[in-house]
Amino acid sequence: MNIKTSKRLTIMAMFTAIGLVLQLIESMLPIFTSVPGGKLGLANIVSIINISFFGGANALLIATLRSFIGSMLYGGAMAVPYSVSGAVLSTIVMWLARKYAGGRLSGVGVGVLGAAAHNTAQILTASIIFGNGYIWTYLPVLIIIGTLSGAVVGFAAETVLRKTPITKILN
Amino acid sequence: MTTRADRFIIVFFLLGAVFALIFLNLAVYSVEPSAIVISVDGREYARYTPDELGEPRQVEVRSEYGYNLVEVSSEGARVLEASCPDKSDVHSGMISKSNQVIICAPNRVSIRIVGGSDDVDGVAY
Repeated sequence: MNIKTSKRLTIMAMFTAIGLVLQLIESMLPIFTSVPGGKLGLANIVSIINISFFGGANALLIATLRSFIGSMLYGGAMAVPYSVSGAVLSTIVMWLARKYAGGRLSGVGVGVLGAAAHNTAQILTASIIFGNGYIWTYLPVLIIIGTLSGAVVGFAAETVLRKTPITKILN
Repeated sequence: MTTRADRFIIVFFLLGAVFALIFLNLAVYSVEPSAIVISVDGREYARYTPDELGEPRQVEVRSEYGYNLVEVSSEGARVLEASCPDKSDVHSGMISKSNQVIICAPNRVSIRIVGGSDDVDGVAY
């Protein structure tokens, strides 16, 4: 393994840790608790950044690891399927949005799409676990919360992307 | 720094969600309630028809997944206590309209008001 690869691997591990810290901070905030699944999605800041820095496949790997470890630590084993399905689908959707929309979407649009994908995946997971489709009635409220928080998350990610000379750091 | 497409997506999702909420209130929540159904892990745990309900009554829901204390009455249903960490079911408050649902994801508990005669779950068991 050459120096460049190990440097890249180290930075990716650091971003996994940063995502975990954001997830921890979020688990301590007592907001939106009346709607299951309604949240800020702070860790998505890291996912958006990862897609640009390390590519979609690596971003997906980091998001999966981060959500698995984070939900085990802060939510318990029952939270794992919700967290991981949300992280996986939102990262895939944001990756595709970045790939095919190019400059037409900024981080804000990408963040909103990611949040909507996250909500949809969690409701899908819940409807499978609960064996009833009535849980989908939660989706509209989740989409409203997710659109607002996703825009803020996307704005934060875009700001970091514009100010960080990542090619300098990686080389 | 938002683009036109960004703003389109934001408006699209917000409007879509608002229309969905209006639709839910007009078509889904407005039918006459026919029962309160408590389910654990997808299986029916308890069912109360309107004539069985009057004064608030407390129901303990215990399973391998956890514990919830549910109050059912002719007004509707709410969760008073829960063993899950986030307590989102307790914070959900009272449901009173048909097809409204409270879920406690960690405990796999759902409390739902069934409406009309088209009880979809009735077919599944």
